[in-house]
Amino acid sequence: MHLKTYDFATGDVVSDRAEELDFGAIVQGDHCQIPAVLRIYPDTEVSISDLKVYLSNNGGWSTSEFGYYTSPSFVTNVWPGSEKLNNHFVEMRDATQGSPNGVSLNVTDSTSDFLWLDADIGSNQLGSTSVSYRFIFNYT
Amino acid sequence: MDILKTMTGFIAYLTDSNRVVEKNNFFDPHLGRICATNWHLVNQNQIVRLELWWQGSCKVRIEKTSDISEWVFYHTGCKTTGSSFTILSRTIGCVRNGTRTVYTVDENTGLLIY
Repeated sequence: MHLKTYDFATGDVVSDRAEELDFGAIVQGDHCQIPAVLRIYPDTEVSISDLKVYLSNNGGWSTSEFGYYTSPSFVTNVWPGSEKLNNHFVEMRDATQGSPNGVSLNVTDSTSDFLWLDADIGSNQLGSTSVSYRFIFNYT
Repeated sequence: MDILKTMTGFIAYLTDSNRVVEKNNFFDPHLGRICATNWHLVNQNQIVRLELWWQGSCKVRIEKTSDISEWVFYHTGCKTTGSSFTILSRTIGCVRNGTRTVYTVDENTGLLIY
């Protein structure tokens, strides 16, 4: 599988194969500058099913929150801090297939769900960090 | 039988006495691309026995019976941003009288996960 990322304002493709997600400028006590927008597509997999996304590492920023929103089509009114991003990830370092806290995404060859990610940084969070997301799925 | 000494993956035994052994990341000329597994090439109507092996040991064996209407096989994989992809487990199973039963083997330990 691979990640395609999109410009949150226009829906244009930013990267065909993203390894990391760009939240723009990050400052204490505020939402990220831009939400990361992505879709997941099969690579060598003939089929993908039961895909779930987890926040695997909040980078130690324990008072920060990480929101998400999903949609089968691209919409333009999803900006950092908006109501649509009110659902929050819970950090799951040891997420397994059976964990109930993953976010389900539909993935196909031709079209896949969009996922928006928001980072709301706690006012006491200091230093640089690296936040990572984990994608667990069945495939053949 | 040498291949079985290190075999990890499915083996599908067919009605014509042939068997299909799992291949990973191989080029399928019909699809014109590299495929993660060759499960899509198995004619499920011809399966008489489906096995799941881990490092040379058969962990699960399912014999065809008249109440099996469908066979199941998949990998469970994990991709973390900034890290490489890993296989967590492999699963085989069947749909018997409308009920789906699967057996999963952990890729690292070989333990059967019910």
